[in-house]
Parts: sequence; C-alpha cells; structure tokens
Amino acid sequence: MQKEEKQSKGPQEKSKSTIRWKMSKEDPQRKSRTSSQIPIPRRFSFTQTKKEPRGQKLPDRDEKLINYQIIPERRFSTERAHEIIKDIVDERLESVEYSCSCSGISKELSDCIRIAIKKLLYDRYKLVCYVAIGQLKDSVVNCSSRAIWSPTSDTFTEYIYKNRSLFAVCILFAVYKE
Amino acid sequence: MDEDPSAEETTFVVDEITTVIKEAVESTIGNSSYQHSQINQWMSSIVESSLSQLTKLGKPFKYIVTCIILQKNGAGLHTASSCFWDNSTDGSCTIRWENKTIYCIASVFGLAI
Repeated sequence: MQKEEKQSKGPQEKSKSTIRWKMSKEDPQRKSRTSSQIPIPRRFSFTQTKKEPRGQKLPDRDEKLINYQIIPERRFSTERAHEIIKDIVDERLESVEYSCSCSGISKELSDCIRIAIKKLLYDRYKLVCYVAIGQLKDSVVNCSSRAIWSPTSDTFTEYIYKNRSLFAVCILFAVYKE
Repeated sequence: MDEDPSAEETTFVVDEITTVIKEAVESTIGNSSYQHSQINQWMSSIVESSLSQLTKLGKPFKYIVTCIILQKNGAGLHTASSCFWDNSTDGSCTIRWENKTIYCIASVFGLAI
C-alpha cells in the first residue's frame, strides 16, 4: 500500500515541476496561478485597540443640562395671552391722558404683562414684552418687527389700544428655549 | 482655555449689535425727510437688512428686531420692554436715531438657543 502511494506521489510531483518550466517561458501570466496553488504564508501583525467613541462619557453636569426636546410639549397659546394683555391694558389706560408720566406707565404695563403671562407656566418659554405709548396728535406712527426664530415653537401676540389722547402698542414675543 | 471663546460666542454683545443696527438705519433713512409713500419700504429695509447682518455674525441666537418710525410733529412717544430670559446669555439693545423730520427707535432682542 505504501509503495503504491509513493509511486503515485512521484509522477505527480514531476508533472508539477515540468509545468512550471513551461509556464515560466511561455506564459508569464500563469505564474500567478502557480503561486496561488502554493500558498505563501503571510506574516503581518496588527494590534487591535478598542477606542471608545468621543463624547460617550459625559460629566454629570452636562447630562443634566442636555435635553433634546426641540418642540415644546405645550405650545404657547396666543389667544389666551391676547385676552390677558387686553384686560390689563384696558383697565390700566382707561382714563389716562397722555403726559410725561406715561414713561412710568409703559414700564409698569410691560412688567405687569410679563408677570401675568409668566403665571401661565409655559415650560421653557422666554418672554419679551414690548410696550409703546404715544400721543395722538395728527402724526403718523409706523411700527414693524421681524424675527429669526423657529415658527413651529415661537410666536407673538399684539394688542393696540386707543383712547382720546393716547395710543398704546403692546407686543408679546414667546420664544422657546431649544 | 477652550471654554473662553465659546462663552463669548454664546453671550449677547451689545456694542457689536448696536453698530449693526445703526448702520442699517443710517444706510436706509440717513439723509431722507419724512415721506409717507416711502415709509413702508424704509421699515422693511431697516428690519430686513439688520436681520441679515445679525445672521451673518453666525452666533447661536434667535433675534427679534422691532422698529418704530415717527414723524416729528410735536407728538411724544414712550417705549418700554420687559423680558423673562437668561441674563447670562440673552440681551437687548435699543438705539434712538433722529434727523430733522424723523424719529426712529429700533430694538434688538437676542435670545440664546
């Protein structure tokens, strides 16, 4: 049995060697085939290091501050705010005539409106209340405002009051803290 | 070290924004006298140009710009504002501008995101 095996090995080896000779002279491309038949041990080394992605470990302080709620749970209600502003302004300016004391009245009104709207407890909303009181005296007044904000969460409401001697423009802006 | 420049970027710098608004007002109604037909155009121009300059600053802020233009006719005007915000990051600035026939009061409110 052993002899037969040897004999079988013998002519096979010879056949390989002869093939190599022919291929090296005629077909240089086939060298790759012969090289593939004999696997060349590859020696390479690499080191695997596990790197934690940046930002994975945050200090406790930042974890408490970060809150990815871009859209408010309860959107600011302009109708409710408008009612409140109307009540405050009508009551305060009912029998007031324009004078130098209107500067104090305008400050007082803006504070009152801000405090009243704060009581509605809209979470994470910043409020800006703007009041302008002017004298009615045949002059033209133009007021305009524009904002860069997020229209889905931010909004405004305005109220204009007029009596015999003065006019008042009250604007409330509600801006969500993202 | 890294916190200092980022802190500057997230606070409202009044001087910088005052100059932006003043330039916007002066470039629009610098030497003009009051004209009723042009007033709407002036208002839009002041507000839009100041907003575009503010966005070019590239800071993480929401801006509100209000502008009142009043004809000089002897009538008086008082403005006031009251804000509920974060004092460390948010701020406002108001400029008063006038020429022979026009009074202009422009306010900018900057609210950090």
